[in-house]
Order: sequence, then structure tokens, then C-alpha cells
Amino acid sequence: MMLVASVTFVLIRQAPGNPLATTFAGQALRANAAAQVGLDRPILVQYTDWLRHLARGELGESMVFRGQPVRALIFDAAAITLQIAVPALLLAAGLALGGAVLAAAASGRARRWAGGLAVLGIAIPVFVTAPFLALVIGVWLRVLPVAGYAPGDPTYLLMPILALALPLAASLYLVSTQALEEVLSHPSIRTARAKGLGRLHTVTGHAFRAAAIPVLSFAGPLVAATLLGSVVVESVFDIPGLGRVFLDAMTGRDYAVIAGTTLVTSATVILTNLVADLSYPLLDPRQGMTRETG
Amino acid sequence: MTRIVLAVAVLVVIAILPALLGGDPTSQNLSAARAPASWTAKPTAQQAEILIAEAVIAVGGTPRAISIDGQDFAVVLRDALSDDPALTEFLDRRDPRLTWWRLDADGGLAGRIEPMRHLLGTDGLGRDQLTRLLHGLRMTASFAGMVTLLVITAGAILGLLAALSPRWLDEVVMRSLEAVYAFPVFLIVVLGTLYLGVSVAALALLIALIELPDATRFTRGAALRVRVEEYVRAARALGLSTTQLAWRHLFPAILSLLPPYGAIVFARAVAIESALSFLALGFQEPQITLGLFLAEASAQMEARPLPLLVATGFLVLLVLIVLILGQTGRQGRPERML
Repeated sequence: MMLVASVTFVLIRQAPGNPLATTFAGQALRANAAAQVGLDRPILVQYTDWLRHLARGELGESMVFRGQPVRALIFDAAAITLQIAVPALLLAAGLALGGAVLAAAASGRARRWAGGLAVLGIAIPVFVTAPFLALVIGVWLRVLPVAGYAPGDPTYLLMPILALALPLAASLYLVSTQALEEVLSHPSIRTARAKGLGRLHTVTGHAFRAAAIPVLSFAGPLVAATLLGSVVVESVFDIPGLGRVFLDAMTGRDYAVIAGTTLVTSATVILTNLVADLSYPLLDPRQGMTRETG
Repeated sequence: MTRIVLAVAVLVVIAILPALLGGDPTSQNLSAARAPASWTAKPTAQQAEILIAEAVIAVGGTPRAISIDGQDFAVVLRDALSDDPALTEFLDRRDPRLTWWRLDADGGLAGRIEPMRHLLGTDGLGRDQLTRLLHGLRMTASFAGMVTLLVITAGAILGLLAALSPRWLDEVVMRSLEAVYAFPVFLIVVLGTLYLGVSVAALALLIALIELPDATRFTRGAALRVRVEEYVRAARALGLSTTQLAWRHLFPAILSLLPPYGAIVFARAVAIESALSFLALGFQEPQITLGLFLAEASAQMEARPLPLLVATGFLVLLVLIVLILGQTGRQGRPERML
């Protein structure tokens, strides 16, 4: 995590473009402003300074919006993004796992159709489904507001949640059906069927738990995909979340904000991976110290 | 088998159609690109008469009689219009189906009926949308194909390496790949394109890098499962070296798993490319990809739904073809006990 933030810190400063170029026109003005923000110092000094701040939990000040502390900027935006990302993840998980269980118990033909549909769900971009939802639900049916964000008003969040959840559900579905498929070729399933268990019960009672581990190992990539998707969704629905902050920072070369958002997002992904790794033994006690497959 | 032949045929058409159309997608003169005769839909005489009358009324004239002779038409007016070149120029641009407007000697108007060319209309710069879409489709297909090949090849090699190497090397490979996960995707792409430029090869490389950890995990997992099979243990006991083992036994065993996985990588590459194009971080005008086209068309969804629908249809077609191709190598799946 530190590695990621540090690499970002150095690379972005080496990259062409400058945070002050857009606000300050003249050469002298720009040099003056650079001195104020501290951009004229050697990169190593800037870096150690940033680390010192970080140790105190500070992320510095935005270089484009002068005087705005980065931490407040990111935390405000992250709170909004979480309101979308967490329900979207839950919705996607419900759709995908439910669908996978049903598909596992269904016929081969239905399974192939569902699989093809899921791959299409991955490929059709969010910004096509999202305005389509906005058009149908927001403009034609007038049920929900088309776009925007108002604090404390959940109606603005429903459509972004749905738009974000669909592609996530599609990829999670593919992973979980694959895992289930694997488990269903196991002899224990034949035994369960021979005992007289129904198709659906066999899947929910026996296969599901065994398939949970490969599905869980997908948690990290899934969270990363959520963060990626939320950038697009926030941009479509005009929501001031983390994705927007990052995008603005990227185009404006706001070094401090870029470093801060990168730190937050990579921390989220790494923590998810860690939690997933730690919960393997809970699901399957055999997964102690042995080298696992998958 | 017919499905496969069909799929390959459509891919070939996607590849050569833009070349048949002619025209350079980056030039602003796409509207002048040749359109195949089968696409041309000349308005019928009655339709043309209405179109001409509408055009004349739009500039303040009152048509008395309209005569159509093949492609040429002439309008007799009740009152002569002023001899203003801006007038005929306006008429020329008003409707792409009616061109060559000029004033007669006796104050009437004349012009020519053009075969209708722009089936999906034109974009803001007057470029034919269908031509752009087809060029974009080819670009996206080749781009995503490139990503898929890169990811599958590198993923298979790295995955086999990780599965067969001593534990410490396995750890090094897997952990360093997992570090890629931690970077936000956009950051990788933006930083990468700043250094490498926005070319097809550069973006394909970057997206492949993003997809690589997943592919490596996939092949590593498959290889680890095969590694404990008896025939592999037997081969090892017979004294096969690790590379021979990988090449002769593990690689063939996981080979049939790669095409279906490749189809998913392809779909993801298409999705990431279009997300980047939408946010103006990936390919940029005058380059054209399916993602760029979709981003543009989705902004005008309500006013002009047709380009978006057709483009989405092409996207679905492309992904379905790749799915079908991905299914072909499938064989020897474990028998389901359910």
C-alpha cells in the first residue's frame, strides 16, 4: 500500500503537466505559487515531507483548490461513494449468487444462455445501461430523479446503485458458476443425490459452501471493479463521489489529491484481500497452512 | 461447426468492411467516402417531391410545379427568389438527399436528388456515422483481441511458472502481481499513456497488465490441480525435468481451459476500453473505437437512439462471436454428478 502510494507520488510528479499551469498564467507568478506550495523543492524533500504528514494522519492540502485539506475532501467524497458502492456490491452478490445456485440446478441449455448473458453484461458498458435506466425510469416513468445528488435523499442513489450492480453481478456470476461447476463433479454430490436430496437442495446444502472459497478469492478484484465502475457511474449521474474527485485531480494534476485517493483505494482493495484470505480457514478448516489451489 | 465458420466469417467481414468503404476515419472527409451501391436508398419520386417542396418553403419560396427527370429536378416558383448565393448554399446543406441547388434563368430552382448515404446520420463534423462505427468496431476488435492474446500467453506462462517453481518464487510472482490490483485502474492507464502515448499498442499493453494477475491466478490454480494427478507424478518420477513436465503434461492439460477464459478477458477489455473512452482517458478523437462511439451516442440517446442501438447491437454481436469461438476448444470437462 505504501509502495503503491509512493510509486504514484514519484511518477505523477515526473509526468508532463503541472497543477499550477491552469490557474497561474505568467512565468514569475507560477514560480511564486510553486514556492508557496513547495513544488520547487527537490522531490526527495517533498516525499519525506509528505511521509511526515502521513504519519500524523494528514494528507496535505489540495494544490488546485488552495487551502482545502485533502483528507476532508477525500472523506466527504468517500462517504458518498460508499453509499453507492456497498448497496451495489450487496445487490450484485445477491443477484449473482442466487442466479448461480439456480443455474447450477437448472438444465444445461438454460445455463449456457445465462452464461452468455453474463459475458454480455460485462461487455456492455455502464455508460450505456446507465443513461438507458435514466431514460426509462427517470424521464419516461418519472419515478426517480434523472441525475444529481442531494444529501440524505436516497432516491438519487437508487439508479446509480442498480447501474453499478449489473456488471458486477455479471462477473461474480461467472466466477461462482465456475466454482459450483467444479464442486458438482465431486462424488459427494452423487451421494447426496442418491440419498434423495432434490437438485436445488443439493446445490444449496452441499455444493454452495464448498464453492465459497474460489468465490471469496474474487473479492479483491470485485472491489477493484466496483471502484472502477463507480468512477463512470458517478460521472454519468453527476455525483460528487470519490471517482469524481480522483478524475478531477487526474486532469488537473492535483498531486496531493491523487496521492491521497490512491492511498485510500489501494488500502480498500488490500484490506478486502486480507479479510478474504483470513476467512478461508473459517469456511474450510482444511485450509490451514497448506498450499491451496485456486 | 457451422457456428464456428459463421463466427470466423463475421470477424473477417468486420476486418475488411472499412477497407471496402474507403475513407480514412481520421479525416473529416468521411462523408465523401464511397458507399456501396446496395446501401443507397434513393427517395421515391413522391418522397422527393415532398422533400423538395419542404426545402423550397423553408427558404420562403412558394412552389407552383415540381418536375423530376431521373436524378434532376426543377421547381417553378410563383414569385422569383432573390439571386443570393447564400440561399442555394443553405439549401445544399439543409438536406443531404437534395444537392446541386441552383437558380434557373427564369427565377426557378433546380437541383439533383442524391441517393441517401448516411444511414445512421452524420456526427457534428459531418462524418458518416456508419462508416465511423465500422472503423470503430474493427479498432475495438483488434484492440481487445490483442489484449486477450497478450493476457492469455503471459498468464499461461506465469501461471505455469508459479505452479511449478519453488515456493519462494511462487510467492514473489503472485505477490508482485497482486500489487497491480492495488493500483487504481485509471491511474495505471493515465500514467502509462503519459509515458507511452495513446496508441493501440500502448493501451493494449496497459490493459493487459491490469488483466494479467487474474489470468495468472487462473492458470496457476488449474496447473496446481493437474500437478497432483497421478500421471504427472509418474512423469516426474520418470525423471522429466520441470520444463519438460510443464510443456508435455501441464500445458496440454490446461490448454482447453484457456479459450473460454479468453472470451471473458475479451469482454472485459472491451468494457475497460469503453469506460476509458467515456471518461476521455483512453483513445481520443480522431481515433475511433466502439467505446468512443458508444460514449458519443449515449449522450444523444433520446434525440437519436438509432446509432446507439446499432452500435450496441454490434457490440453484442462481437462479444457473442468471441464467446462462440471460446467454446470451441472445450472438451473433456469433468462429468457433473447432479
